[in-house]
Amino acid sequence: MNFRQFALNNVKRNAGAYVGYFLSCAFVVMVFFLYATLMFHPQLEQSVPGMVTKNGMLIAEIVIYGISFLFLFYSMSVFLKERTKEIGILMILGAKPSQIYQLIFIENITIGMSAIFVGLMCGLATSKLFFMVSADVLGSKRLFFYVPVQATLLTGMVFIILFGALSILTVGGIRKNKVIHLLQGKKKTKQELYANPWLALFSLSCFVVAIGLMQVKMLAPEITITILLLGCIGTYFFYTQMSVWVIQQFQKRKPFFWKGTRLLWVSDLAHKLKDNARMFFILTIVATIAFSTIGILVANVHQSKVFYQKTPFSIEMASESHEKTAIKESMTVDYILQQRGIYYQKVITHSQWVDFQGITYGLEIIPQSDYRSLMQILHLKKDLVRDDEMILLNSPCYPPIQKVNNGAMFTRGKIHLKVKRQYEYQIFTKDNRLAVVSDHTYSQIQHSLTKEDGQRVSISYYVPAWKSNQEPREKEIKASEKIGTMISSETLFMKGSKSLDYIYDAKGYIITIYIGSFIALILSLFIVSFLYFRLFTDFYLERESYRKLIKVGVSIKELKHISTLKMAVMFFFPLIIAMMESLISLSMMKRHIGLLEIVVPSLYGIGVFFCLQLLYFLIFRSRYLKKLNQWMTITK
Amino acid sequence: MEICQVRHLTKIYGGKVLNKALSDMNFTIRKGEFVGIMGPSGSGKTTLLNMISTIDAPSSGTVIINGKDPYQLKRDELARFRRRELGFVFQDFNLLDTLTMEENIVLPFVLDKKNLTEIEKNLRAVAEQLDIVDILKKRTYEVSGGQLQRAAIARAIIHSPSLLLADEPTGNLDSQSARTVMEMLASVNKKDETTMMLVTHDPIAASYCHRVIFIKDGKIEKQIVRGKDRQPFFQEIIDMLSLLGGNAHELSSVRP
Repeated sequence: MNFRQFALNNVKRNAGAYVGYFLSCAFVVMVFFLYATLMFHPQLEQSVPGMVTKNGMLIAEIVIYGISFLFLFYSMSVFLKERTKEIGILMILGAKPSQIYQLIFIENITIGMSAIFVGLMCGLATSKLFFMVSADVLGSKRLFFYVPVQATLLTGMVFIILFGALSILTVGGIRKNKVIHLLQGKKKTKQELYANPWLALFSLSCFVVAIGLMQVKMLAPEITITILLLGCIGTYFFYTQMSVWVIQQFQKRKPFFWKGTRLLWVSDLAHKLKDNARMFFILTIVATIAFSTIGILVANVHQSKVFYQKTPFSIEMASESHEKTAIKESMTVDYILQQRGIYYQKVITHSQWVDFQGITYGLEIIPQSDYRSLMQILHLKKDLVRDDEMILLNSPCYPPIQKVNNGAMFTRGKIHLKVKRQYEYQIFTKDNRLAVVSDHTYSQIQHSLTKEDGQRVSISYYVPAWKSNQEPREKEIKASEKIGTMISSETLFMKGSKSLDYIYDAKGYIITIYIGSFIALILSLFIVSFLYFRLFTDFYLERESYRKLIKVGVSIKELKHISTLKMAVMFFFPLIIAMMESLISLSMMKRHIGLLEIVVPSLYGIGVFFCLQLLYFLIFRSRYLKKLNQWMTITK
Repeated sequence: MEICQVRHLTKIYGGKVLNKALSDMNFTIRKGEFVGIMGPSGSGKTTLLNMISTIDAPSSGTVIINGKDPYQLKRDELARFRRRELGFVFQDFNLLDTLTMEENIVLPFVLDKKNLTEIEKNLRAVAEQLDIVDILKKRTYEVSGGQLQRAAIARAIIHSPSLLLADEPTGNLDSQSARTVMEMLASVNKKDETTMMLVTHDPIAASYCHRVIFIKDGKIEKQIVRGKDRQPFFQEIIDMLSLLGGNAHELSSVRP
């Protein structure tokens, strides 16, 4: 057996510990390769959305590469730390340092190369499917299969560099250690845990201050950075101090703590938390970022859907100059709709943008008579305003930027208007700050208009047949597109179309979600492969204490219970904390981001993540318990 | 009353070459008795102990503890049997690092979900008996070997087991601590009438027993029973050991 064989055997026989690491490497290579094949796809360069996708893919590739490097480096160094004793033995037996480096280098390169190979093979095998799904999601024509020479070369090169760099970095890491330290390995007795209650309090107050800061009216960049920093610091001390402190409080309560297996797993848990605090911290931060991003994206898709459903008018034309010509030109729209056999109702409204004293943002005022015609078609509440009153129509689709009280006074020159009532109506796609005034007041204001205050005529089309659509149908999109391309003149333009708006918004988000979900999958795989590795190395340490416990008379059932609980904490604790952090911050921030509903939509995204994690947990648990069982029957 | 009955106990270790570690062994331990098992290395002491402590199943023959045959029990019942009927004291203490001394001691009780007042009453009683009240809140790495072993004894007796099994309890201790530990064991035996079985190499430790069984090559070679005094009993043990071809010559210097 020469040295190279020795190194290879080392990998082969440690397969149990390496398998998670290896699989996640191979998966990263595969996803990187698939993205690369899409990025280099000749068909994409021919269209504008294709170019957008291409850029998105490039960013995704960089993100994947960065994440992979960080995670693989971290797991590599933890890997080596577990093997310090082995390395120490080799050194004492007379292995030269260069031989040790060689050993680690060969191991790393073996794993890396086979991961690249397996990843590329799986990528090639699934690329056809990937093209089909991508074409569907990106809404482009069928993407043909091609031989991805460029993508293969890029993936191969980039990952050879990555694994090479990892090997050199990890080898550099052990160079500093002395044999004695290596031999002692991590055989330290568990020191008594110490948690500083003040630091625990500090962590709590970090969170409280961060939440307090989120309540400010305007979110300046400095405040945002402060909030993020506070969140990170709070999370760090939460794991290193507060969680340990809380467990210690439990340990002091004997009626709780001295009951059944609790005595065992609670105290083990405290050590586990402290030992893995840094890992938990990193996982939490990464997962919080992932969850928040997923949340915002999903909430945006949800929001555009709600927007589509709530907006009554399907097509809105507008003119800012000649009313007569505009109305004449709008006959084309009528014609297009009639030609397609679509029944519609047409509303003409006048409006002008004006600023008032007493309110920070401008209002679009419409005269009472126009409100009446809107009222009839859209079945709004009947209401009348006097000359010194106004009715505010707020859109329910936008979070109110500033609430106005009934009875508030707005002034403009000599005109004083009192807010009589406020309604929540979504009327037009874009303009959502409408105010109804009497016809007299309207013309009075019209005379005082300056150039900055625009006025416009809106010609809106209400199609009852499309009213209750959950999502735009083919017919609606086609008609809207047709009108959009047909009419664009000096006088008349398309102010808004809810179906086109929806499609445009949703597509952008869906592409982002599509690309992002692979990155999220990679993240979750990394997290899991890391946990997997941790669990299996811990198993060798833990079975020592399990052996003691069995002799004292702990049953296998109880042991399984203990290890399941501990495993569940490792798997879900950081995720639950991350979920709480992201949900709290998102629900606090939704006002600032301009989203109505964020918690429920983001729960969908997070739910998928949790289901994946649960699946991994169940697989691991069964494998772990099987191993435990095996070992128990051997020793028994 | 007999607490432990060993009948025709045989253990054969498999593999390519069969190795008979125990052959047709018979003996009984009565209630309140303190029995020592001695013998040279490889004589089958540990095998015997493993069989009685229900860790290793015999090839043939039976072990009856307090009227029950542990090998007829299911795995979970066996675990319950261990923590109710048996108490263990090990050479390497087997205390858990993550727990404090008192938590280690109450472990068998807590696992049985006894109520807190009962646990604490028993804890106080054994801690006083073994003189470890001061170190109850300490951790395993903060106390001496003798104290660790006394805590382990406390854990073994807190639930008043039918049979206490000790495997070289003095093996890792200095002579002073070893003496304290043995005196503690003897006093527990005397006061609580706890039945004990002690496996040891150490003739001094064995001299605290009422009866010592010598085994060699998996068979009982001889039994000697202690008279009134420990001193002549110790002498007898040493003589017996040299007769058995153990390492008596090393021990001769101990002779007073």
